[in-house]
Amino acid sequence: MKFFPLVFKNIRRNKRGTALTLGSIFVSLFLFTVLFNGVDSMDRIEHRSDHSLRICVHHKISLTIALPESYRRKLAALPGILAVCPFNWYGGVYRDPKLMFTTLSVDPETLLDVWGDQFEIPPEQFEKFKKTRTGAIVGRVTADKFGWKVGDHIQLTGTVFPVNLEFEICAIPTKDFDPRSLLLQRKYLEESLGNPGIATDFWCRVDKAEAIPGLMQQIDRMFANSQYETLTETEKSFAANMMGMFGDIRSVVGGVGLIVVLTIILVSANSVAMSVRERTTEMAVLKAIGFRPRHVMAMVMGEAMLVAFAGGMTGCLTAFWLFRSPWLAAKMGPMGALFVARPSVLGMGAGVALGVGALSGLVPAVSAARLRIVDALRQVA
Amino acid sequence: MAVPIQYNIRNLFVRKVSTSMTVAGIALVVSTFVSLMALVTGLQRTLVEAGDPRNVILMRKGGISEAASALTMEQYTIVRHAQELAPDGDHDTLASPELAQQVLLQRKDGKKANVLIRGVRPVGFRVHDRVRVAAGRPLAARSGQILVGKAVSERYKGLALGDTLRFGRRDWPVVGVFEEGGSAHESEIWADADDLMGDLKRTYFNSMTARLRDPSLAASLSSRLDADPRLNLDAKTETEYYADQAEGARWMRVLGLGIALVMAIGAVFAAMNTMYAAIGSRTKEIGTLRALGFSRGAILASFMLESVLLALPGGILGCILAWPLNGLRSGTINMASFSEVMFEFTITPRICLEVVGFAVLMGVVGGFLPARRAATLPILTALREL
Repeated sequence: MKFFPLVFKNIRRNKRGTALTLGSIFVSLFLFTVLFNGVDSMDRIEHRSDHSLRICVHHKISLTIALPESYRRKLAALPGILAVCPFNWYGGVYRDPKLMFTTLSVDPETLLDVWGDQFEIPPEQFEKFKKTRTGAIVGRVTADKFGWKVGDHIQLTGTVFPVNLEFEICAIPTKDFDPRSLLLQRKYLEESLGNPGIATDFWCRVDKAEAIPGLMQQIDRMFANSQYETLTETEKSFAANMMGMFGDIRSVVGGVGLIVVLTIILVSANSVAMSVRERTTEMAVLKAIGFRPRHVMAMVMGEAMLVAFAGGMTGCLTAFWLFRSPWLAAKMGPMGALFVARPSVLGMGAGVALGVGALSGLVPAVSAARLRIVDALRQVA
Repeated sequence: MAVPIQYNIRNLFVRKVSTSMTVAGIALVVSTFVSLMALVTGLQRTLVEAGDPRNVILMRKGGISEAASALTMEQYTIVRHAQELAPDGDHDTLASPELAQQVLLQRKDGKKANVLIRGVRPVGFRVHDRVRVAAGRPLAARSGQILVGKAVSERYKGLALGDTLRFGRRDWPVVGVFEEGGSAHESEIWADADDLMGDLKRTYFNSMTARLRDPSLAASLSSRLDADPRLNLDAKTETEYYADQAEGARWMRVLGLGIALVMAIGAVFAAMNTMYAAIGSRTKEIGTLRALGFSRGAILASFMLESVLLALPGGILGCILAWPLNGLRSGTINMASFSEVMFEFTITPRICLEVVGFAVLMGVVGGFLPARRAATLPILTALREL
């Protein structure tokens, strides 16, 4: 520790070199954090449902074919099912059809019975939603994107159903199963479509996890050979299918992240090596006046790790701060869901930064430690 | 007089380790850039390829994709005889009413994704006349059979020629595999429209694709549709329809460019660092060159050149590193149709030229400040340096 001032002095000596190294590590770790977070968010969406007690019943062929509303009663009557909430995909867009977001009609009576653990809504806002026929619950990201506030009146254009609906925004939850969604009252959509009595999918809350496999089979058997056959999925497999639709994009993002890390290692290793080479004579002098090889090694390593950590963490924090700003999430379109960072990302950033510092300092540090005093002193840099 | 280029090349070889590390760094940046551009280019090319400029798509007003559109029997009966449409035999027109339905199928990697099933009548193959059956036999009307696109057939389980797809209420034997120049249609399964309608218990189509007698008649058809209150339909040329979907992939291009740009900034810092170090250790040489009579301009040019010489092989190496990706098959969701579209990573000569130019630019930007420093060194100070 007593060498710390010396290490620090060394870092400050070649200011330009240090600044450039800091800059490139900053930029690279910034990018790495962005990409890592993308993959992490995908995993998170997939795994948050690992222990979920929800199952989803939808049409066997695809989510795009609706089921009859009457299934709801049959599902609710099954022992082991506590509550059933029908969803209906409305497909509304606000002004620009290219800015797609989730618009679902829900049953306000059972929404929280089924999805309560994923929601944090001020109770008075939720009460307002229940009472307002044209009420809407809007996710934070979507609300920020369009600048909507509680109490605003908006109109959406239907792309799936040919109806344009007006809404009054009643609630903006602090936590939501999808912060880009708009939830509307099931009755409102049904009435404006002329009461077709349909639902895209039914989300059921089950009493215990062990009952899920049996129930899934029971449900699909119950509707087999009927007009509308069903496919019942766990929340996990439903989420996995949704994420699976991004296809190979995930591996591409992961691959790019890996290349970024390789690049940072190369870059910082190169600059540490250069700065050590510039000081070969000095290292020899240090050793000549009694510093042990391990001291020299520790100093070089310390320098590399300090610079990598400082540059890397700044980059990581900048990325983190950017994710927290709703502005970016709004700009990212369909990938917006991937731009929600959690604090553990910072821990990962610190780990990568220190790792990069250690790896890049290792070779120069070892060679500095092994330096033969006589050779080094004789060499005129 | 210019400083001989040999001087720079030899210097690069003297500092083998740091030169190769800088080159490798630039190569990695460039290969990332190439891969991302190859992905976007491949995806967009596939979508654009699916549009036939001679055809129009009729969809419900406000509908953004075929699957979310609806075309009633009545509308079809009215519109199929519009005089803008090309004749099909003596009494009919090249108007193909179509169904589009997503179906959740399992890929060979075990994951599930939506695939678009398109229901067509026999006239559909005359409207989409670039579709070619590559293996097996053509689709017979009302046979309960299916043709699968080449890309789907390769990426999904149980969709090879001779397999049987269990979907809806019955089994659909795969009797053929079709191609359409690598277009997005190859990501679809085609069935007979009336078979599909029966199976899905549907009473309406989704859309109609029709051949115009002349591409210039699109506007005239549009105003005919607008004039008839029974229709409530929009006509888009097929090219336009798929170009819009390709436009949906634009965010990926922006993302790719963003990633490449950020990485490039990092690489420029690294190149600058290398060049500063290179110049720092050669201060005396630079002083000597100046004393020999080389002008400041010549020194500036010489070091800029050295920096570009550092970046150029990086650019070329990056292209070579990314090259194996060319032709790699991949797939992602097409947001407009809510189904998977399969494409090939496509590295075009243009991408290569662009990224090599990009690498040279990194060299120029990274080299300028260090080179200027070399050029402005006072001769006396430089020579006095140890």
